[in-house]
Amino acid sequence: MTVGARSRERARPEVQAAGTPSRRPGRAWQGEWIRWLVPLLVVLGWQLAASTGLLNPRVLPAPSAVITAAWELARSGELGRHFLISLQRAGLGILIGGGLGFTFGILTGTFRAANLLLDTTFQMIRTIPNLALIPLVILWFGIGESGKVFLIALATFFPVYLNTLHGVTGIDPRLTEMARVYGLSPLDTFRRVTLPGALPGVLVGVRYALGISWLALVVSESFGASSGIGFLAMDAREFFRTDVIVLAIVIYALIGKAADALVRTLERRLLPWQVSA
Amino acid sequence: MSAAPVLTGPLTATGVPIELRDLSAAYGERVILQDLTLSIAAGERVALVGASGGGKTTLLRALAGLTSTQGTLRIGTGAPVRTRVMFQEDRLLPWLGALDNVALGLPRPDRFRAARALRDVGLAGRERAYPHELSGGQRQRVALARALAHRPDLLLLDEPFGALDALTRADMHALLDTLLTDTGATTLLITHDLEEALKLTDRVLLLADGQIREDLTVALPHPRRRTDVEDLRAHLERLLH
Ligand SMILES: Nc1ncnc2c1ncn2[C@@H]1O[C@H](COP(=O)(O)OP(=O)(O)OP(=O)(O)O)[C@@H](O)[C@H]1O
Ligand SMILES: [Mg+2]
Repeated sequence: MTVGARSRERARPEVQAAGTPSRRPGRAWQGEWIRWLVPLLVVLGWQLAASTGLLNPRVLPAPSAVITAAWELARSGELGRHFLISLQRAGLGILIGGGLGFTFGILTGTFRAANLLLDTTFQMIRTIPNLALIPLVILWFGIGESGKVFLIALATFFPVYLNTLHGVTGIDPRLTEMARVYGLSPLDTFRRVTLPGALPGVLVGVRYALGISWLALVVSESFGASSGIGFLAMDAREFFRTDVIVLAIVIYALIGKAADALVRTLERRLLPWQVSA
Repeated sequence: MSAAPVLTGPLTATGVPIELRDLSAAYGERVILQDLTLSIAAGERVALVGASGGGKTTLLRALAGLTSTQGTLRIGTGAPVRTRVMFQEDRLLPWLGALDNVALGLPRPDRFRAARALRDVGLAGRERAYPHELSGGQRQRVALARALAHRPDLLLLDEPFGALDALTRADMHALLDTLLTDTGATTLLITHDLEEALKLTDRVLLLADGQIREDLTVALPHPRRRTDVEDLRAHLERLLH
């Protein structure tokens, strides 16, 4: 038995995507650029095909054309404006939907009465495709902001709700029993056992929610919008501006990646105790 | 009977007496304890041995107030009793470091005892280590420190070293022997290891068919060596098989 050993090592150096082979710490830098090799080659090939006239710009514009479009839209301030309004819609929707999902997940996970009362209802609503609600949403909220935020909130509610509920019910009952034996009040048990125990599940839910929020954003901005990245794409379609359409798609992809990175950072910060697989 | 913490109380635990009369416990139709009668004096160190599935954990859970029973179960003399359990598994919270695990449930002014308990079990310097960063034996020592830091009146240990190798076990025996002498708590130690029972406690109870089949007093000075308890071990071995 070693007594008084060195301070602990960082247990979780990197959260990895499923399927990524685990890296050795010493050669971490080598794997880093390899990830970008394939996307880079694709873009190069794409540019080549466009420059040589192999690719009709009506079908797919050259990457350089997309970059030019991005530059022009950014300089006029239009890109920033649309981007911010989209971000605001998504953020507000996630905050409302995720917040409610978390709250109800904790409630139904903790109290049997709440579970009996609410879970079946939620599960039923969950099976309704969001797209089916669009006519109703337009009737309720008109085509203003609230309808868009509602759609995003609705879409993000379920992943956070389900994963929070799963996180709470997945806590080892032996730990809860231990907390009782060691004199923790129900509130302390919630703070010290239930909440941290459910946190990994909650974060899984948040990750899904972030992903799905952009999907809901695309849907909600494709009708009756006069701003936002989705509007930018729909508007560009009217004028056959494929470069702007591709730009919108690239922006969605980049934001999706950024959202994923954000959750991973959160996980690393909040779950230092998790054993990395 | 209550597992509630006592915030004010004597600085050193004095241990509580236990009185069981015609105690019965069952899981549905399955009777596990049947009219069990037993009394334990305040501060006594008692081991409970018996075949696997014989109901040792059930009796411990009854004493901790975690299993419903029939019959008389009296712990202490009326004042609230601080009972702490070291379960068959370590039951540490994975998201807390060793020190925070030990300090769990301790009132704020008593937090300093957590660090001391951790030092007592030889884990000074590992305060911030998460359970998954500790070995099995280290985790069980954290669990032991947690139970001791609360200065329990009644200390219930359910096969605390069941999962350890022989060498580590021997180390832990020496450690527990001194720590138990210091605490003064009434202690019940469940074990499969007869030598462990005979070395660490002063009374060995054999549980069979839901009752106390054998009640053996071990009047030997501590610390005891293996050879000191050899005859008693052979005696118990015969009773067990
Ligand atoms: N929650 C439960 N529900 C139903 N039966 C149970 C439950 N817990 C224990 N039992 C049964 O009660 C009997 C006694 O179990 P107990 O855990 O008290 O045995 P034990 O003496 O501690 O065994 P071991 O030495 O293997 O830990 C066993 O037959 C077991 O199957
Ligand atoms: Mg047992």
